[in-house]
Amino acid sequence: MVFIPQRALARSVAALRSKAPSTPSQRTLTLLRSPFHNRSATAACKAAATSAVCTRSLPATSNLAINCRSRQFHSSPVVKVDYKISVLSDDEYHNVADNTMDAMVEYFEDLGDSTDFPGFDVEYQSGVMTLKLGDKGTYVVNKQPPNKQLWLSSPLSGPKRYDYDTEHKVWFYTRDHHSLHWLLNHEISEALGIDIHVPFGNDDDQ
Amino acid sequence: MFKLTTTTAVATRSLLAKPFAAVAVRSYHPKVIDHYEKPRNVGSFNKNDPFVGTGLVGAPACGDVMKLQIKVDEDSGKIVDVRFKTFGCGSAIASSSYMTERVRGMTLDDAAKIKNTEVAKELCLPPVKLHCSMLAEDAIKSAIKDYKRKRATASATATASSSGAAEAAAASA
Repeated sequence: MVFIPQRALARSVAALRSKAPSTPSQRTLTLLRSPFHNRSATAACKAAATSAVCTRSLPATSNLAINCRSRQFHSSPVVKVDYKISVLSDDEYHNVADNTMDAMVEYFEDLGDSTDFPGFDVEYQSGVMTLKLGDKGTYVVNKQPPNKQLWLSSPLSGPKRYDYDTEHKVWFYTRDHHSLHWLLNHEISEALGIDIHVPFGNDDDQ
Repeated sequence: MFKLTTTTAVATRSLLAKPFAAVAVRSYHPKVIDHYEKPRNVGSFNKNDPFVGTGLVGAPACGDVMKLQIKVDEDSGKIVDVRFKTFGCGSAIASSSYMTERVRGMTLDDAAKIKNTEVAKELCLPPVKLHCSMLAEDAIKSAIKDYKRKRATASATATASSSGAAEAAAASA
């Protein structure tokens, strides 16, 4: 299974095109047009990430730049990163898991306020987030402290368990190395018909 | 009396504070309760039996451990008998109980194709309990893998010993 996050790439391209029309991003654009070859896609993403990091110093673009950088790192399994399960202490686990859950819940609560999707409801209670999307089904993300994981239940793709990689700051699925945020962004954008971007809630965002 | 009531309320709340609190108030579907109260094919086989495959999935710390064993008829490649033992919630027990009924008489290939979604649908599991059906899928796959590994080792040993015998015969000749 190969995921081509075209929406993400297109968005980054758009962001880069409007905000940083310098030579490096021109190169990026060319590369991004052929994302079907794994290696070139990886190169494209790396290049895009580099450009994004460069544009970070420009005040007006910093938010967008960070956005598209993290989208590429976390939302695109085309970039074959070999994530590793980090050994976390109980405190570290709760810290990072709570940050992730809180950021996620806050994001969906705001989304609920700003959209009028029928049947949209989000609830968070003792480490369990229940997100109801009307006839699109119910998503559940919960903390699973005994094995230091986050568990996801998707009405579309079923249940999955995510481990944390401290180096990449990402919750990933060991069977195919996609990230929790990638899956949520991908599926829920599709379900709601709007482009969503769940924040990570780790140190980078604070 | 009042004190007793308070204590009960506190106890209930601390139970609810576990990860699946959101559904703790939800009652199980009748199909789950049926399997929970009358679990099918509970028990175990000798895991060293060459025609038995054992799948052990989950971890005690997480609250769910599932052991599913299959006995296979080598000639037909079909599962002739199944046993399970599960330590876990009602949905985990029901998922494994249902799985044992489902795979009996099936070929290994067909049994390996059973998806968690089928189990979840049959038992009408709520979203948060889909993980239990996944555990059942993992368990049968793991049992099949164990059986195949055993048979591969057995046939490799058999080939090795027969070729060894042939070499010995050749040497003596």
